[in-house]
Amino acid sequence: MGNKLPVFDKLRMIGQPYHGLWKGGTITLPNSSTKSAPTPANGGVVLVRVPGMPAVTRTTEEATADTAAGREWRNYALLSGGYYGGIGPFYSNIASAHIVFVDAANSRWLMKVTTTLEWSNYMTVALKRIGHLDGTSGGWSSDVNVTIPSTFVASVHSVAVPLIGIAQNTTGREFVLGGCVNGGYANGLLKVTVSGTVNIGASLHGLSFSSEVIDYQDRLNHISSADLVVTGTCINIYSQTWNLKRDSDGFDTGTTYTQTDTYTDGVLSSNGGPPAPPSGYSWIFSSSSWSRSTDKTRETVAGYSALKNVWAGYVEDVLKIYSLEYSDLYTTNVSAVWVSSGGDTGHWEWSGTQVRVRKLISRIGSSVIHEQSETLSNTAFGQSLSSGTYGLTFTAEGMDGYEVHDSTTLAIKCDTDQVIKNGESSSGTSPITYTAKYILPIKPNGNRWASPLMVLCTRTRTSAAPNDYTFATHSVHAPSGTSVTSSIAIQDLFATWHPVLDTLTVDSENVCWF
Amino acid sequence: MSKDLSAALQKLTADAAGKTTRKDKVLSSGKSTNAIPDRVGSAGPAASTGGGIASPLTETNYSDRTYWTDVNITSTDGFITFVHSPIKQMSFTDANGDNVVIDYKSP
Repeated sequence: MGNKLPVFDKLRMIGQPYHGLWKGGTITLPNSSTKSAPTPANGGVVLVRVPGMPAVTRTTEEATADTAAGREWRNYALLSGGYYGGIGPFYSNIASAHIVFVDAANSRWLMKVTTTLEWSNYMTVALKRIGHLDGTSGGWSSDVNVTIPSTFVASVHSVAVPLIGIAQNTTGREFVLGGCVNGGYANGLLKVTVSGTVNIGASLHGLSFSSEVIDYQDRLNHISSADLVVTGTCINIYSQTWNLKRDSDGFDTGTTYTQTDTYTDGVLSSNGGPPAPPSGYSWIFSSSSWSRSTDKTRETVAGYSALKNVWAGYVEDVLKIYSLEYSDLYTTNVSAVWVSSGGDTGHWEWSGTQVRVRKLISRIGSSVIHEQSETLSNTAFGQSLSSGTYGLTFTAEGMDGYEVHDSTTLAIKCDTDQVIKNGESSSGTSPITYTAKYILPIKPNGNRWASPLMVLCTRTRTSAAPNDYTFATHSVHAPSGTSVTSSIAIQDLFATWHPVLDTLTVDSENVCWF
Repeated sequence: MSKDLSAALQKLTADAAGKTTRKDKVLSSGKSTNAIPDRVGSAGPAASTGGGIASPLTETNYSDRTYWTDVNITSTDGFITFVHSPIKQMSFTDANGDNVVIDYKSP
């Protein structure tokens, strides 16, 4: 039982003190010396924080010795390309997700998640103790089945679209799974929350699970919509003036009365005709006039849009969902104008512009990484409101044709590739050139270890060869918002992000922060 | 009075001069023995009868060791825990075959 040390030795400190950028087989330490380390799967770095670990304190002499030796003692762990220092890898090449999970007792476990049964409603979970050296050898626990929405499972296929762990928070008590084609986006995203203390053999090994589907393969995300906003009124005022005169001789008393009839969007309100005159006097009509005013506007936004959630990453314990959105919208902005028919006759009309804009928007969390916007048309727009002579019967709200006021009228499935194609800008003729500038995951994920980094690139294709793509790299983006400009060809592009130092490094060779 | 006593003692001493009851005898001759031959002597540490330990000490058996309650030593980043069993007692026999026990303090 236990590990036995030489009798008189005293363990003072243990850990993994060698940190730096891995490249070409070695880590470069802060003192510029190098240390061999295993080749990471890619530049993906997972931050693991065991709750309650204090900051490391060293005496002046110890710190001086550490600096000379290139050592850095930290109170957090990094899983670098799947390795903890020289230990690992903490992943496998089969269709599974591996999460480093710190339970409520702060014990560390490797949680293996698999879901190989399409159209089922559960994922299979097993646990293995890690980071606990007690002289015994531990293996995987028995499998337990954890219920998850079947919609997500339908997004995963054991061969074609295998399960992958997309990202986890610092304790592994929250993580995101996805079905992922090698090099592509996640086909479906499932956020899982885990709590409790591991008790192997108990129900679900002592843990509680909950899950939320963020996106899934068959989600109806392509929407046709129309929104209408009308503000203000159209006002027509008819004023009539009478003079009070003596019947006997027509003497003008100087007293006048003005009747005001106000039509507000065709609805009459009036102060009524003159009051009954005194005996021997009469109200004699003098004059009348029309006046008009309006502050009436109408805006409609109608068209199509689709949003696809395509990846995930964490900044400490804050989840960032990555998304692509396409929209093709007609925005009509008109104001009411009076169109005279001569004299005081006429009618109200809409007059303004209609603009059609197509957009492709890439986001990490709520931050817009890039918005590609193309104005397809910008035209004058007008429509008669009514044909009434005086414009008093104000009707026909929907005479511009966009009658639908519901936010969703038609929803169909739209996959990521279709979102991108719908958002393409086009130019030229025969052939037509289509371009789309958007984010996509960095480097294929063949070893099932994900990276939270995205590449902003421009994809170009033509109508002559619609499936032949060329890519131009612009920049690399981390979930923190940090970015680095790069023009390295996407097939030669590698990058790594340090989740604590917020340092983003881009290279044409495999690199990883350890 | 003392003067009289002293005078009396002196008279008695004088009166007894030359008188004794002792009979003179001659001791018999002793038994003859052989001479002690030449030889080399040796000497070693005193026997540990309730007092000293004779070197070397030889541990009785590794499995005879006993330990205090396990102590966990955790890496600075919390990722690795090393479970350590502090030694409590070790048993030996000394050169004289006597049992020796060393008791260690609890950490």
